[in-house]
Amino acid sequence: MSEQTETMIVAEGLTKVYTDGTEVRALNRVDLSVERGEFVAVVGPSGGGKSTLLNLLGTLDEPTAGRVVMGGVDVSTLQGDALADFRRAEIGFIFQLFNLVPILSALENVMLPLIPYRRQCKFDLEARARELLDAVGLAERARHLPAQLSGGEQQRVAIARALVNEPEVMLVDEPTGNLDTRAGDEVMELLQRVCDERGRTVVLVTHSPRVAAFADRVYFLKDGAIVDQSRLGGERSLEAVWVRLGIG
Amino acid sequence: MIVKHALLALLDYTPTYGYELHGLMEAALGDHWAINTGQIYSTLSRLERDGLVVRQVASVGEAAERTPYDLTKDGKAELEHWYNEPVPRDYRLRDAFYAKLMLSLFSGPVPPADVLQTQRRELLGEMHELTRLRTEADPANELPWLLLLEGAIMHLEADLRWVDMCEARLDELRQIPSPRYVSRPRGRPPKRGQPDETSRKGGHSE
Repeated sequence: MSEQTETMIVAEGLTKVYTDGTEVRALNRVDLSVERGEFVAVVGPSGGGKSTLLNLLGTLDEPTAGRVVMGGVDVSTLQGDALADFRRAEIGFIFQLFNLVPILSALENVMLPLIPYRRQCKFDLEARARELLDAVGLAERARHLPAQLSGGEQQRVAIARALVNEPEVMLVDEPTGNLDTRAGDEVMELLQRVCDERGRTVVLVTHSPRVAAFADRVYFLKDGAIVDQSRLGGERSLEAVWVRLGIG
Repeated sequence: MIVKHALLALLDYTPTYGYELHGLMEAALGDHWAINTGQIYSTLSRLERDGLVVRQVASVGEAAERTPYDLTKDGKAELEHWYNEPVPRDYRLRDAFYAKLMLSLFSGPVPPADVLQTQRRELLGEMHELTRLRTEADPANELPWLLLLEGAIMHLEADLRWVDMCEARLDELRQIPSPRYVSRPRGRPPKRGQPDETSRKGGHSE
C-alpha cells in the first residue's frame, strides 16, 4: 500500500436533532474522516445514532448542524438535482433489507439505478451489470428473480447494484442483519474484496463486532457521539493471536 | 496432556516411528500445533513404560534402534476411554480482565468505562486479525485451521458481548458498595450444630 493518502470523507461537528414533541439529539458533534480506499466501520449499540450518521453521510438527510465534505465537495452546498446527481455519481448504498425490486431479474436490479440515465451512459450498461454479477459470483443467476435467490445471493445482487455507478464511496448499513453467520461472512468477504479491488471507500455501520472486524479502522459511536476510534490492522503482533488460540 | 492421546490416536492409525509422529501430528492438527520432538520422545517412553505402546520387534539385523511403535490392547482401551470423555471447558472464573474491571469500580486512576473500552478495542483488533486469517485460509485444503479460527472468533464475539453487557450495567455495578475488610475466623469452619459467634459478626449485610 502506498503511503500517499487522500481524504475522501470528512464530517465536522455533525449534529442531528429531531424535534417531535420532545427534542432528541440523535447525533452530537460527530467528527470523522475517512481516507480514499479505506474500509471504516462505525460500531455501537442500537439507537446510538449509527443509521442517522450514515444517512447524513449519504446526503439522504440534512444535519441540524455541521457539514459533510465528500471528495472535496461540501454536500450542504448542493440541492435538488445537483444533490441527486452527486449522490448518484459518488455514492453506492447497501442496506440490511436488500431492497431489490421483486418483479425484476437480478440483472435488471443491478442496472436499475442507471436505467433512467441509460442514454447518457458512455458505456454498455447491461455489459457492466453482467460484469458485476460475475464479480459477485452470480453470473449464472442473472435471469433469476429475487424470490428465487437465497438471502446471501440477494445481498450480493445489492452489492453489484451499489457498484453499478462506480461510486467512490460505499455506505453500508448492517449488511448481514438478515443473514445467517455463514452467508453473512461470505457477503462481508465479497464486499471487502470487490471494494478493495476497485479502490472504493467503505463506511459501514453495524452493531456486530464480527462484521466490524472486517474493517481497517473502527469508530465507536455511543449516545450519538464518537467515544473512541481504533486502527484494527497493521501493528498487531500475531503472537497475541497465537496465545489466544492456545497455540502460543 | 493432549500429546499423550494424540500419539495414541496416531499409532492407532498407523504403527510408526517417533520422528514420523511429529510430522503426522502436524498434518492432523495443523502446522501451528507446535510440539517439540523431545516432548514426543519423552511421552512415548512414558507410554511404553505404562504398557500403552510397544516397540515392535525389528527384523533380524543390526538396526534394532529404529523400530516402529504400536498400540497395545491397553493403549487402545485408553484411547477409546479418552474419545468417550467430554472435554470440560474452562469457564475462566479467574479471568484477569474480570478482576481488573471489578477493581476499577472503586480504585485507581482509570474509570471502568475506559477499562471496558480498552478491552473492546483489543478484542476487536484480535478479531480483525483472525478474520483476516480466516479470509486467507483455503476452505478446500485448510478446513481444520479454518474451524479453529472460527472457534476463536466465536469466543471473541462472546467476550465482546460480555463487555457490552458490563458496559450497559455499569451504573448498576457502581451501586455496589465498595468492599470493606471483614475479619473472618481462620482455620477449619465450625462443625454443623456447633454455633460459632464469630461467623455471624459483620459478614454480608442483609
